[in-house]
Amino acid sequence: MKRRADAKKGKPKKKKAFGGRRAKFCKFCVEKSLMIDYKDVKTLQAFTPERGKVLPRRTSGVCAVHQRELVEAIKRARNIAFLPFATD
Amino acid sequence: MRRYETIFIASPTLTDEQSDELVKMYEGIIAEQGGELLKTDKWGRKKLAYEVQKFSEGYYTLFEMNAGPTLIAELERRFRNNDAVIKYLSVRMDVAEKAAGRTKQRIEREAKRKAQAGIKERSAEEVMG
Repeated sequence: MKRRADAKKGKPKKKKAFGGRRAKFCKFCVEKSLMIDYKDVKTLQAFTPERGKVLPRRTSGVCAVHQRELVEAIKRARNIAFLPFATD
Repeated sequence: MRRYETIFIASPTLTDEQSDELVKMYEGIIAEQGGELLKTDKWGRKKLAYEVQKFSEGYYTLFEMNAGPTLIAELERRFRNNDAVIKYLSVRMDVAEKAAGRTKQRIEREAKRKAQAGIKERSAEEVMG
């Protein structure tokens, strides 16, 4: 919608960054979170879609440091039955 | 002394009173073995994400404590020997907390530097849209 309105006004086309897609960002960096808690089931669930697998970095945009912490937290949460190992 | 967190799940076949007794018993063991209990969190009956020993529910209890490694070993041995405990997990927290402290310092340092250089930081809402 916005793009079309711009075109009508005849503004010069702005070069799109990220191939027109939305920029990815690391949620944990933005929120400046200090620790990813294995007891915080809600946050962890956001990174384990239907099957219960860990969402890959290329999809979620989480940075390497935080992905490592996230995986550790998810594994702990699975161990104590907060999260499933797998669902079909 | 190290900081630990221990969670255990008690069998759903127990009554509320029995599970409270169990928690008291373990609190006693921690005190007896020279541990310093900081917090006990009873989360009550909660659904499990998968079946454990054919149970799909359990009483969750969280202990936060300062303890030595021998206490954790003893505590876990008692968890194993008790049929009323269906699962347990101990996590060492002091290392992760130290790391978190360093991260906090780094973030503050960075913020100060940016403030001095006159760089405005984008707020969390702005980035996430």
